[in-house]
Amino acid sequence: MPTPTQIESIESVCDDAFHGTSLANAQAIIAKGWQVSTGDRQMLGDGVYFFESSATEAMIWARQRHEPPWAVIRCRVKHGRCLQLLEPAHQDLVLKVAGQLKLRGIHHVTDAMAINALAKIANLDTVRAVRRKQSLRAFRTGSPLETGFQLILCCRRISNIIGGEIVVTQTTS
Amino acid sequence: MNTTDPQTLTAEMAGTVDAFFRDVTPAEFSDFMSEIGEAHYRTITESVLPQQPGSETFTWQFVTFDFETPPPAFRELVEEVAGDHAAADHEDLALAA
Repeated sequence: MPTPTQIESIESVCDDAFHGTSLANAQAIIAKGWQVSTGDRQMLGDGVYFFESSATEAMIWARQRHEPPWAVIRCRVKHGRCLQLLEPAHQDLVLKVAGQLKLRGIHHVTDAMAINALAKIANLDTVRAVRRKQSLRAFRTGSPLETGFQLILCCRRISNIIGGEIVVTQTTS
Repeated sequence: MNTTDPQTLTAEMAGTVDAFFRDVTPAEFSDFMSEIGEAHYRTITESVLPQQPGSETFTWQFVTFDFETPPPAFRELVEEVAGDHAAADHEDLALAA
């Protein structure tokens, strides 16, 4: 098996990484530690998912997927070796890996599978991406004030998550 | 502290990807895909607690058993049962004798 070349770390840190979940989950995370989410339906592959800089988005996420009460955990996350899907060149890398997997007989290549493969080849720590959501605000498309975007940070390596405290709890919508 | 700009990182990643797919053998590729879970085992969990069936992000857990290399607990169980049978056989032989 070819050995991945060493990729130097980018020593930047996300100071406001927010994870929304049920209060019970949040308390379990604080007590027992994080557990990586895996599977082909994970948007950016295996990892722990955060919203960068928005506790509100994390709470909305929690409310859509869990029974109340809900909670948001705030952490710092070291980006480390980061696949920046805001970078067109990094997007091209994912497409290249997906194409190579198909060439080798993998018929149904999902985004998560291609990112997981790239992450293993390139020894990645985190993946960052912008997710477009349906905006209910009145700003026109393309406006700097348009609010229909979320900055997602997927942390593949638990050791890159620094600290963690429950900063928001909510019991009703 | 090792710091590099995104362009350098991108070039290194691209080189690593090219080298991997150029050099990987079919057997190595099969192992690689197994390691990232393409065929053997995918489970969906969110944080610590498993997601509930019916929730929007719930996905079934797929497990493929590899009988050539069963997990230790299974192997121990088989050996334990086999051992009991062997002991019973010995007792039968002893009684017959």
